[in-house]
Amino acid sequence: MKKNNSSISSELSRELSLFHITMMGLGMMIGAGVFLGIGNSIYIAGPGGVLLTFTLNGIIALFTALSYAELSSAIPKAGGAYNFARLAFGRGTSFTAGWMEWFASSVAGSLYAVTFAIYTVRYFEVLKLLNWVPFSTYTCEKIVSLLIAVFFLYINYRGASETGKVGAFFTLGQTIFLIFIGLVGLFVAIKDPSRLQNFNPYLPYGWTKLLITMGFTYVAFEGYEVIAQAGDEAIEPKRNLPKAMIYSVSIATFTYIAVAFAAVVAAKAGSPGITGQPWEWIGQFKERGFGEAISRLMPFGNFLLTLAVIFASLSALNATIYSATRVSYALGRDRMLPKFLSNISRKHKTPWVALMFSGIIVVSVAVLLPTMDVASSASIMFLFLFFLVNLSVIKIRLHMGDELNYGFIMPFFPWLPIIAIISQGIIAIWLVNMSWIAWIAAPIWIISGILIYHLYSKSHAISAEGEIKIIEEEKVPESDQYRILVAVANPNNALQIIKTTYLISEAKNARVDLLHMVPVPEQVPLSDASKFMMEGKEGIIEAMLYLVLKFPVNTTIRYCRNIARGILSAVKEKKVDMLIMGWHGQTRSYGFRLGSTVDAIIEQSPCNVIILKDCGNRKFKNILVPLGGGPNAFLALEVATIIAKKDNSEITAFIVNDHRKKINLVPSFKANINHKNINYDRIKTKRVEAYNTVNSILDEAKKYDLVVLGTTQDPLIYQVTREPISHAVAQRCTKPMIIVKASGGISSWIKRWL
Amino acid sequence: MLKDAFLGCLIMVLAITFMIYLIFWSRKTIELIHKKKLKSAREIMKNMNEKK
Repeated sequence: MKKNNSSISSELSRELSLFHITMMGLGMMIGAGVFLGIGNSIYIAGPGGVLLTFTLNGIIALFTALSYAELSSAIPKAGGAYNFARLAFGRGTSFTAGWMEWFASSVAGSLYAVTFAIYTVRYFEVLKLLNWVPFSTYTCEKIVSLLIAVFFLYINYRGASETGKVGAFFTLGQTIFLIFIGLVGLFVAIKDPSRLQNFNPYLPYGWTKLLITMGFTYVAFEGYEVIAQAGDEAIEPKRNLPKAMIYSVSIATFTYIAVAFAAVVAAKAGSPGITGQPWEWIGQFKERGFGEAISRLMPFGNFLLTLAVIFASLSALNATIYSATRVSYALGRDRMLPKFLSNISRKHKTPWVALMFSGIIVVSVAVLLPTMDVASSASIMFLFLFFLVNLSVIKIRLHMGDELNYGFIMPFFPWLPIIAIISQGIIAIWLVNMSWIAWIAAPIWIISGILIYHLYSKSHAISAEGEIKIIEEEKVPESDQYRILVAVANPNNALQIIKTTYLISEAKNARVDLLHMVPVPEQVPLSDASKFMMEGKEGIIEAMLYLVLKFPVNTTIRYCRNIARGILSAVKEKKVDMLIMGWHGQTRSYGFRLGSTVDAIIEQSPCNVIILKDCGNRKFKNILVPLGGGPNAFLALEVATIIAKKDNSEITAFIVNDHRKKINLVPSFKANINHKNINYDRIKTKRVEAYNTVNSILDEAKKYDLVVLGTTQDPLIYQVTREPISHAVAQRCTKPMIIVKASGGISSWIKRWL
Repeated sequence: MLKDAFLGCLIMVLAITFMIYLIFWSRKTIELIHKKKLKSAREIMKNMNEKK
């Protein structure tokens, strides 16, 4: 998005790659359905039934995923089904879609809380840690599910959530673990083919039972809605959203089939503790059946499975809570529901009213309903929602196929969505055999939604003008001019950073882009981020006024989820040569050396990086440049020379010959021709012999006005065991400082990793 | 019972084969649309039919 607004533009940070959005979808799917569903499916449909359940659900889910993929590629905007229904059928149906999605996401959250509770309590029972507790297992599970749901509601209220990358790697870990279980099952079956007898009888209770098991496990295939919600944040959404939807459903389906197979062959007939046929033994444990089976399959099976369930259910619980919050917030924002639902906490910037109402649904359903009723309620609501999306894809292609800009269209149109509609209808109807409570709760929710729409929303909803606005990616024109991006974070020090930028940009004849990152909590759609617009605008206006008379300057306010990721994505999108940003000089984040943002920028930025600390309105008579002979030394000397020119300062290249290596800079100086601004006449060299390089630099720095320091480029494995010299100096040096990192290119990156 | 197992396995094989076909078809279509910068559904379908 580019919005021209008094010469300041705003844009959304596209930070999520194909891998991230695929993992987001997969994370929502591998949350509960598979862990609770396998035992119950074996109990209801038998050993062959569980395999067919996941296979048939997978193919129906893929048909719906193709509908989502087509619509998301044409309308890549946060909102998912809510937007599709609005475009296809208008506001009333759109409200119903949002209303259903709110309930479905909230109830899915309840299911994940219950799953976490069931497997945690089960593991504690295995370890005999709950013998002293005066409650039944069922009550313990309900208490744990209540506590974990409340805990995650609080985390969402605070605005904290797992970062995209960490979450993606957790999901990848869970998926690999489940595939590993499947492979172990296959290995066991090959080694001992008699275990295949566990599939006899294949469908002991007949084919119709499949419709029931398909119904309550369908919730395990609902990840594409969360991918559609990422339309505003995905890189190349027209290409990546459809791919992510198709890949995530396919990976989930193959994984489920593999683990279901492993669960059936895990128990051997006649082994100690197994009475009757193995599938009957697994089935008697119902939702705990999968855990009991895996504990027989491999050593530490109980422990590993509990870990996997904990990670899977918690990440899915977090994702569903903010998904439910987002949709209820959107309904309030559009005045479909009372406006107060879109109220945002001043302190934490999260939509706390929407979160509170979503929390009430999550907690009440988790505590009051039995597990299978929770699963069935979530499934039935998602089935209705997907039913609507499949209808929307047909209507939109037929009526607007020539107007929209598609990134993907499905094959066999309209047969696949029609087959999906019919199958989902049959499965939803059959669920009455599994849970009549779900079949009472779901229609009551939908009918109440229709009543609310006619009594309230219809007269209060805001104008439909511009409701579906698609945010296109901005392509930067190719240019030979050197580009500097200045990330202004704090309005108070914006001018200090700009003054140094002015010197560097003048020396390099560079074009300057000012950037202010505004973090937006995950619970608020990025497209609604204009509510946070005023934050930092004063600083960027101040900076712009200073530079605008001297240089062509672009100023951008960019909304992001994570500041470091947002800056990095801006660097890549805008094809920047140098990034300049400020640093307050200390870190409050545990586990980071210079701070969570600066560490990530130094490590991952593909361009030159300059980080300024206390370099405001000062005169620098003498500048210290500690050198270690690495590639950053020349950038440090170049920056020092540019700054020295202003005050006619002296530069001292300080070389500590420590006990490990003797540094000889002369050949490097001669070979280096890239940094044309280095004035070697201004530089004097000082060498010392010292055992402790850091202390030696810190002692020397006391005599200087400014320290310009290149980051140490140790291999990553070294950095785990010892702190880089540059970081140690930066943390302890009290003088004004500039930290630089030169762009090393791909060869440097490979060298460091190797 | 054997008939159920045979039919069940056959359904699984067919379903998985069809899924794999859809995955590869979709991937190919996405790349084609991106490469040729196609826009409307009509334009995309026309291009794909011409290719056949």
